[in-house]
Amino acid sequence: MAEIEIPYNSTNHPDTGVYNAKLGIWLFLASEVLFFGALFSSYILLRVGAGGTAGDWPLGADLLNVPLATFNTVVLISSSMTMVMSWASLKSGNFDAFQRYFGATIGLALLFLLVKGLEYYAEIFHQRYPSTSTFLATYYTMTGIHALHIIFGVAVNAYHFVSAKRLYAEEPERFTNRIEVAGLYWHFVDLVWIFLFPVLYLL
Amino acid sequence: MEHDVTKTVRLYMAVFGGLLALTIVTVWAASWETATGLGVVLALLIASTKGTLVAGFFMHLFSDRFPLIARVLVFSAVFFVVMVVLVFLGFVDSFGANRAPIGG
Amino acid sequence: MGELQATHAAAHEAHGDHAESFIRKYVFSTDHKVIGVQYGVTALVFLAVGFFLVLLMRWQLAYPEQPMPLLGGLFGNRMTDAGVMTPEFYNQLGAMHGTIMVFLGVVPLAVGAFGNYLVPLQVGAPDMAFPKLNMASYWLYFLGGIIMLASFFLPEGSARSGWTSYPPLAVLEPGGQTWWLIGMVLLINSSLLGSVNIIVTIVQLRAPGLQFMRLPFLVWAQLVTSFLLLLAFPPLEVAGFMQLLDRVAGTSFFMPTGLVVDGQAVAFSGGGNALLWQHLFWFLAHPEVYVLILPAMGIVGEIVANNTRKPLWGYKTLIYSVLFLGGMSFIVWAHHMFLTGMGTAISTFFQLTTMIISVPSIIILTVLIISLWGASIRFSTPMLFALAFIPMFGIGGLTGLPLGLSVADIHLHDTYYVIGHFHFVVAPGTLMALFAGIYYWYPKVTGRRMNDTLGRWHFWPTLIGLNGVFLPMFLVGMAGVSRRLYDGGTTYAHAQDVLWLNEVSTVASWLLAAAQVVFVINFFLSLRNGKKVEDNPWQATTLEWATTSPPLGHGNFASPVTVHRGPYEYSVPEASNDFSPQHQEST
Repeated sequence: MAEIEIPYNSTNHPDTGVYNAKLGIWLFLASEVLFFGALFSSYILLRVGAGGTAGDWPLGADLLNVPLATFNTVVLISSSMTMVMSWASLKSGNFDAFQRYFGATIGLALLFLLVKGLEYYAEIFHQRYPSTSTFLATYYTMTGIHALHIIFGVAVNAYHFVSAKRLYAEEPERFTNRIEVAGLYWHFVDLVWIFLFPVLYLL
Repeated sequence: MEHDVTKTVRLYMAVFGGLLALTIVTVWAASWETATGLGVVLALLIASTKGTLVAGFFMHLFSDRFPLIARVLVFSAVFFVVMVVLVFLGFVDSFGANRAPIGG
Repeated sequence: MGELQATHAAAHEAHGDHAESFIRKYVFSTDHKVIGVQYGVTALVFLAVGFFLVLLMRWQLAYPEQPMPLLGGLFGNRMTDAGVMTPEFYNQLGAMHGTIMVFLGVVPLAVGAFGNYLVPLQVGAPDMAFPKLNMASYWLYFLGGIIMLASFFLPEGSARSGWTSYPPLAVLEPGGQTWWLIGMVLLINSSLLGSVNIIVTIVQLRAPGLQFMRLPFLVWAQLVTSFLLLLAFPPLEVAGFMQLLDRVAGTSFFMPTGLVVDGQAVAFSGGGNALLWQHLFWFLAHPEVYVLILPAMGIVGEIVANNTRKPLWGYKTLIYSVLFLGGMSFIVWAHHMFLTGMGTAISTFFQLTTMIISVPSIIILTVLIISLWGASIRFSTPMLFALAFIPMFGIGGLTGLPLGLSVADIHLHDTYYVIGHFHFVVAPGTLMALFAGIYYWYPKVTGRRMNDTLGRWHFWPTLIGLNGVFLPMFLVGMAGVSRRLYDGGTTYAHAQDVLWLNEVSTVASWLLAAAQVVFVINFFLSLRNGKKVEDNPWQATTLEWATTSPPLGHGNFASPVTVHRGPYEYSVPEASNDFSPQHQEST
């Protein structure tokens, strides 16, 4: 009796229409909304508190690399697309296509982190540190916390990528659900970046 | 949705195309309309549209509607708005707020 | 579940034996009952630690500048000076007392222990929805707690800026504040995992026939509590990150421009806002008050129904009140900040919401009182504690009203009145309910009853002691004596008339300590010598009593249970017994 059977672990509950992990991840994402919400809220207050004149709050484009960030936005959106495609492939039973798309998702995420690292490197090279100004502090904190989310996502996805064959062979239904849950998290991280990009770089 | 895979794939590709297009629009818009009221509104509008696309299609909020999940999200959205608005109001409506409140 | 085992084998090392080792069964267990007990024991230890810290403080408040008896030499030169505690040490004790009691004691006991142990049983589930996350939640909590405690042993000592950690002070203080923040982030993640788990368990794993309106009140309370933890904690995590960066990376999120300390400008770029921390902190910390109180109300509801042998009067009213309370608790937070220079419009808003939120609390108390009406009450030990909860929480709640109105708050803010108010809510309130819960479910967990005589010897001194400690604080506070004064106000003219009350509080705290010794003795003696009980010793109706006491191993119920009726069908006319358990088909 090592493990016990938890109801609705891989099947949908007749009343709620979801399996446990799907409800769980959505609850987690709900708390993430408040988490990033607090970050954006702090951003607004610090910016308003800075007086609103250009001198107090620099334009992101003057300090940050907009082309690189635009490229990164495209990378992240693409990884979101490959993520949803990998899930759709599993749904239609095409395991090979799943592996290709899923591998691409992880690869794109790593590319995103690499570009982000280059951006940080350039900022630090120009002696713009978190302690330099409140704008830079906000920038480093928001993008840094977002990057931590990316790293966590990569770790989860890498685990599933490595053990995909075994997990899929054992319980295809459950594995498809796991990929859906991982996908929901991944899309959310993408969604956060969609807001971070204009707020920090363009406004 | 598994009965019509090609249709789903086409939908995802269309959403992907839309997201790419909006990314370009937002960068282009920012290049001529920066840091003004209109620019902020425009950028946030575009970002919200993109966010809706991701949440609605990639995260399936449009296709599989579960009242339960919707309710949870409404809760967190409401509390998010409450947090932003009330904190902001507390900030604006404070003694000596013209420049910065006490301690700020 | 071969697949899960395989995952385990992959996740852990290559130990292949399938018999559960002691470590897997009792230390890194995924069984919610074991985790619940782990939470409970750890939280009780932390409560004892937090209480010990405050006993030290109370000595200093009653007898300032006098060496501590017995303990004076224990703390060395860093914390004491010839047996007298240093002001720095006093501040550390104060900050850590609050932190430990709230985040490591009461919440883990109320939600971690009672929620974990009882929710799956009361909804008829084999375990929590995510057993491994559950285990992770406990160990994150444990680690966070260890980090908090360990900070006392840093060269500079622990956090010392109050449990609220207001910047700029908290940013500029040396020492344990960084550890405090790291510990806090771990605790927040722990409670996040726990709350997701509890919500999914309640929503997805209810036994057939157990509709929402048949759930025991405690389960409802835990559900709302979990939502509060889920949605209110993230902003504090963000704020914690930002304060951490202010401390270690030199950012200025909370550091205003032009700050001067000791005649010298501080080395921060400035441009930050100290009030931002307060907003984010209280956005969590006010819902946190309801996290502290709702499970307690749930426990009292269960015990009142069982010991009055009647259904709770106004079950639906209770539930709607709890839901309303939960929602409202998100929009009252700035009543902690009336003295920060908020304008009249916004403070009017927060006064209004604060007055409104008192209504459902009063309704809940009224429901509990009316439930007593006309009953032939069984004055068991748990019932004594539950009954004491009602007026004690009433005092705590009603004394909060003047603090919710800015006119009165301007006088009372940060005085001992505030200390008296919220301690009445949490100590004579919540703690009494938690003790009631421990006495009530002890037979469920251990199969034995706690000694009733010792229970009464625990109850009466505790009740008298708690009132003796906290009632004088209202008077001290109304005289205008501030909290967090190292000498209890000795140097202030306006405090002279009420200084003797400090001594009353301190003596009462000794009585309180003595009473807890009785509890500890009872707790351990009863493990061996307590009277053995049958499966349903209290003749209760809810599902946790549908299995054996203590429950079977992992899995809880021998066969799946089906629910046929509401939670509190006591004294149903025509029924053969005065209680009709939820899982019984015929009365």
